[in-house]
Amino acid sequence: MVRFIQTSDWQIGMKGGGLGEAGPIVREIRIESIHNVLKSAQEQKVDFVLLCGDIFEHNMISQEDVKKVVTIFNQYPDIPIYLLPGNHDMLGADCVYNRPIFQRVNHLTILRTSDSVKVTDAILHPCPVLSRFTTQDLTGTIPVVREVDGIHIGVAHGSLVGKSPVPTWEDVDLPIDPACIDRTGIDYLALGHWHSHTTFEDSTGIARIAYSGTHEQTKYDEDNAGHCLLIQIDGKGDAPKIVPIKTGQLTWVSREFEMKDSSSLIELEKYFESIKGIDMVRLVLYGELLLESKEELDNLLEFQTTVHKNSRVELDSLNITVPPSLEAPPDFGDPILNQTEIHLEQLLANEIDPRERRIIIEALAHLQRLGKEVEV
Amino acid sequence: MKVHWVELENWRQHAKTRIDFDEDTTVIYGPNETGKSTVLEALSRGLFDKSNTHAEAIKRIKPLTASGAITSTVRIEFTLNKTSYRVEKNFNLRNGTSLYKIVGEEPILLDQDDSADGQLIQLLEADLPSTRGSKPSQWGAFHWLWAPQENRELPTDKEGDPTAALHLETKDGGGVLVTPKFRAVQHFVQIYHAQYFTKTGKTSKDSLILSTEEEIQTLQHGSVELRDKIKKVDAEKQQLEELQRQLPILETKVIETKEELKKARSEAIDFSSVESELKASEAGVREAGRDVEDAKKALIELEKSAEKIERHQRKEKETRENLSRLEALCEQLEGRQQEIKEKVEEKAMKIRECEELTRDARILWTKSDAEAKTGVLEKKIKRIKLLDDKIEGLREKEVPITPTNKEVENLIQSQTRIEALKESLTARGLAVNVTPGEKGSLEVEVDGERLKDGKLTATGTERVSVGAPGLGKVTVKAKLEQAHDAKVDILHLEESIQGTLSKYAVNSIAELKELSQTQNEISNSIKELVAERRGADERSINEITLELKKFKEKYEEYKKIKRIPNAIKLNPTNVDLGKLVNKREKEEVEARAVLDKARTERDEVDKELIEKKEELAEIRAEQKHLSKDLDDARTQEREIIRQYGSVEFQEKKLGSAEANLEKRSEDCEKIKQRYEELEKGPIYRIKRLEQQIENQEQVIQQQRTSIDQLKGGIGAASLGGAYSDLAENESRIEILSERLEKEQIHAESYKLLKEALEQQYHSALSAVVGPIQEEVKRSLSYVTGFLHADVELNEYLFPTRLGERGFEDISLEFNDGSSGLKEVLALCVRLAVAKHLSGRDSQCLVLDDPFVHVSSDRSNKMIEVINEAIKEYGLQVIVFTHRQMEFAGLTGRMVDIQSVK
Repeated sequence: MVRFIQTSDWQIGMKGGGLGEAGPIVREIRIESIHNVLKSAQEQKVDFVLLCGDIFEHNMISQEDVKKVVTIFNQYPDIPIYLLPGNHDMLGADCVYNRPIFQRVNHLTILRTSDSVKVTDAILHPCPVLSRFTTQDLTGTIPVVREVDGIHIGVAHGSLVGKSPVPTWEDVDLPIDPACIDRTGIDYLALGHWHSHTTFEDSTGIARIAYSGTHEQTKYDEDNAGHCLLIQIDGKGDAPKIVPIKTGQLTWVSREFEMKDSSSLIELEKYFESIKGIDMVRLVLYGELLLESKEELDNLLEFQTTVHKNSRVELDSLNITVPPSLEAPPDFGDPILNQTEIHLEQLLANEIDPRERRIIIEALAHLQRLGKEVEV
Repeated sequence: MKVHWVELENWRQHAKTRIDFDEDTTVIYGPNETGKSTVLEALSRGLFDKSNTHAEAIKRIKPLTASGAITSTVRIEFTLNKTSYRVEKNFNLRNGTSLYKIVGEEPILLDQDDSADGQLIQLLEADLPSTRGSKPSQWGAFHWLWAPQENRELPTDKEGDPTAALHLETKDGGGVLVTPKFRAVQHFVQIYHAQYFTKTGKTSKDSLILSTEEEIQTLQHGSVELRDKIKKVDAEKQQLEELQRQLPILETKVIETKEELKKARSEAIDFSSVESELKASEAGVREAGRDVEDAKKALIELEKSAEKIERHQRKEKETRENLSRLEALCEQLEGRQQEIKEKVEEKAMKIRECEELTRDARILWTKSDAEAKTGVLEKKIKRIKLLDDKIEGLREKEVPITPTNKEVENLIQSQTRIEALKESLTARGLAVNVTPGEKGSLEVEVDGERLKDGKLTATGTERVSVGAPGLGKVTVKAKLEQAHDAKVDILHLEESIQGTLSKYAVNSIAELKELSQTQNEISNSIKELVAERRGADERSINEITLELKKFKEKYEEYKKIKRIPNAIKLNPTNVDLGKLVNKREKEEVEARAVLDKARTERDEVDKELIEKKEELAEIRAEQKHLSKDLDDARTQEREIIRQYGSVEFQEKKLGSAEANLEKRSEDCEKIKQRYEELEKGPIYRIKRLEQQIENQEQVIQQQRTSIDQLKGGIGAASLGGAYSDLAENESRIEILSERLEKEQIHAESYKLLKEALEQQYHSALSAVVGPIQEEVKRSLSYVTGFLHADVELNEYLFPTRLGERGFEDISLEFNDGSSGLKEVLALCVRLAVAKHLSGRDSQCLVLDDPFVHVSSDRSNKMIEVINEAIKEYGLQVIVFTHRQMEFAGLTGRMVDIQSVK
């Protein structure tokens, strides 16, 4: 029997694009979450941990980040770690794993070649990425082991051809043939590259192929991320038991919210209350809102930035409206102020560029605010 | 406002002046410096300045003739908003303001001093000035309406906003166009705007926008550099991969080439024997060559030796001949030397003889000369003694002083004058000579002077004609002064004569004359004797006696000298001894010259002889060397012959060696041809393959080196962590860009709001400014004969552009207009402003020479426009000018300033 933790795509050092001020936070949390993976391994008393590629975002990563990871590795010296370089941390002259610091981690083995590696009660067949682009099946180096004793585990980093979202060989940079299991007779194929945890069945309907996904969600709308997998294979030919273990610390939510009228503000507030424990919030507001309510909305959104680690509210789809002057002519007690308001409203009515509309809306908001607040 | 009258007291040239103004127009005229502008100054100070102003300009309003401080006073009566006021202001010595309200005809005191100043300013809607004096920009609406010399130009935007002063914000009916609320909101918007923008609309350096943009730019630059680093590493990786891909191919190629070489070697025939044969043949050729060289060398040696001997022999012969020649010459020179020596001795003897004769002749001459001189000197002494005695005798006869001829002459004349004067006195006290003149005229002289109309003159005489058949009674009148003068003159003259006579101790003029004559004679004699004495000898007798003594001693000395017999024989004593001396001296000189010549010749011969002897010795030594060399050369020749044999022998040897060489060379050539044929084939191939292997291995080595270098470089670059830095940069850029966008939106919203407020404000204002602008256009168009029908005023009512009709949209900037046009336009603006303000109250326009540059046709039209304004809205116009006739068209009063002072 063999038990191991499968994980991949840590992408330590990633930029965190689109996260704004939360980018640095996310980067640090991804490093911290490595503890969750290795702790899980410790708790589950696994035989080894298998890293299926893209542990680092790039080979030209800072030595500081490298040291942080190695420091964590060193805190779990009893757990053997087998690491397959991916396409981000690809083998080559600049490979990050060439740095001497990795040579000194005794319980870490870098799988640089396709030579089989004997591990506790199993044999690993690594398929390292040697080139960013290839049309050859990466698992092509795995030998036929149907008649060979032992539990055989393939390790690769790429995209399963024919499986969503990549339909054909031509569209794939790092293709993996899903028929690998049938062709070679290996018991399990551990994959990295996709960030969401997914399993695939072989021709007999047994789930023998799995992506662990990234250990910490990397962006909004990334489903099923933030896990590692506990794999247990009892014996040669047995169906692997695949159990996802949550390792991600950050909670994410992304949704659209419709604004209909001023009561929508109250609903929005309630909604925010309901997600106050969420770390990363992205909201797309759409619909309509009266200009007079804009200030209240701005105040609410400003407050939300203090509640979550990242709070991004997109307002481009939200139409700020002003009532027609005929219905509610402005009255600031000064004719020029009134005329100014009418002039700005007319500008807004004729403007379609979102950025320009925002400017006009803000100008109107300032005018309304000052018109109400200023006393003589 | 209407100004009724003004009074000035102690104000520059106005001791006390009052001017009453017409309701409509008043033209105050007068020449320059009559105080017109002073009245205007007093009007403006009286209304706008504080009475306790202490500016220098205020101090200068005191009368020019005043000494010390003096109070200057101005009083003005005016009506404002239907209420009449009077203000009195005192400046300088005693200052103070009094403001009265006129009720009925009585002035009721409203206020005084500072408070009165303040109240008045408030009534006028102007600004309260400082104690340094007011400026036109503080006069409120009067800044446009009153145009003294210092305010001839229209107010510009730099002098403040006219909106309040001209009530531009007031709509018809008195409603307020712009409320304080608008001002307050605008103020806040400007504050927010100023946080982002400068006054010129550029982004403020202090705003977050600029600093954020700069930071983003810096980060972007950094990102570009980092990306370039990463790209470079990628490129190097590709290069490395390519090299790594090529390396095994190259290695395989080397192995293949080596296989080929092995095969070629096994296929090549054994050509070593041909090679050996060729080497041996070449050695044989070399040996034959050496024999030839040896033979040639031997022949050369033999030849050299023979030449050497011949050379030595030739040289020896020459030396011998030289030697003989020199010996003969030396012998000849020795003979000559002896002859000259004898000749020199002979000449030396001759010299001695000449010297003796010369010395003897000199002795004779010297003795004779001394004797002669002695005689001369003795005679001289005798003569000189005689002369000295004579002179002594004459000097004894001299008197200390001698009367000059002039003195004597003067005395005689004086005496004669005395006699004449006495004669005249004797006659009557006057000397009158009456002489019948020509034609019955009568000449009358008095004391030698002729009468002239009864008056005596100092010079000349006057002819007095008396016509009578005979001489009648002649009455002559003369002044007695002559007589008096004559006596006095006589006295003086006698005194003078006596004085002179006393001086020379004589009793009479005759004695004096004689004395003079005698003394003159003595003096002349002395002069002659002294001259003769000098001519004899200027020295004293003692000096001459001393000389005489010397000559005598000399004579005695020479007399003692004994003469040699030869000299006695050859030097006669009865000849001219001087000539004898010369002769002998000359002979001596000639003899010396001959001796010198002989000696010179002797020295030359000696020198030549020495040289030749030295030369002779050298040649003898050389001859010795040459003999030795010849012997050596002969010995050497024998040795060479022993070594090489004879020349014939060597020639024969050379011939055979050359023949041998030729044969061996032919044989060698044949063997070589055979060898080369072999080399082109398989040998060449082997060599080519060997070279190829060498090149390939070199390339592989270079490839490996490049691979190592690239690996090292890539590894080092990877360690740099460029990606992490890039990720951090880009993350930061994203954050900053979001912030920047927010700030920019915020800033632009305030900018938009500010502009919108200003736009609406100006739009509202244009409702008021528009009519003013139209009014200006109308009047300007009329005055310029429709040449300028369009004008643009800015919000400060300052003309910015003029349109010119008749041209294609060519408009003039205001400053491009002529001075006359500017004056006309300025007045049009003032009138339009007055019209605008007339809705609130009637206005008063004050102008100081407004038409300095305006042509008469336009100024006439301007007068029409002014009259129209007066009629239409009750405008009051006060004009100060020195050209009265220009304003004759204005209705109202004409005031001659000089008449009211």
